[in-house]
Amino acid sequence: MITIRITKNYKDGNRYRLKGQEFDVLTWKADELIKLKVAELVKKDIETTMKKEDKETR
Amino acid sequence: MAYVKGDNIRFYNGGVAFTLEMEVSISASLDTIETTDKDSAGWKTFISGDKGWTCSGSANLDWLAAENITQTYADFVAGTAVAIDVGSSTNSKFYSGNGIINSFSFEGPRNGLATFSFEVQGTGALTEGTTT
Repeated sequence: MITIRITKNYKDGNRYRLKGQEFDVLTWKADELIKLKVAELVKKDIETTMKKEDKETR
Repeated sequence: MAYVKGDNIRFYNGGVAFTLEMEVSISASLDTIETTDKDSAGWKTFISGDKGWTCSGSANLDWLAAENITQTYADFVAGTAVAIDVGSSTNSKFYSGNGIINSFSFEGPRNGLATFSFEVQGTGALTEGTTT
């Protein structure tokens, strides 16, 4: 589970995302929003992080 | 053996988790086409046909949440397909597909929390993956 914080007001499809809003997203969504520079990472679930690290080690 | 708590299974619309989610379920079915004839030796026979799926869920109401009633209603009105994922981010297993929100209801009982529920008609394949 990844929690992000919106850093800039923007429209996502038919949703208005407001600066300061925090919510849980899937990795691909977090990546997309962070790339668009409208969100920042708040918290990454420890197990998710461990799995990612495990994949990288393989 | 590793049990999975139902609490860990979440509904994501467009990659964003539903806030105050209460229930989520997916139901998939496969049509069977009967092929019974006089050569079937008294037993009905079938071949498989088309597959389909639906998803339904409910949540406590939160007007200010990032993903709750307002967004679901907007999708319902728009009638366009939404990308949904249902699964556990802890266990990295997900069922994903595109679907149209074809049912929406909102309840405000006396002496109880306001809730809403919805149904999604899947369009196209439902896939099992490890999307996180």
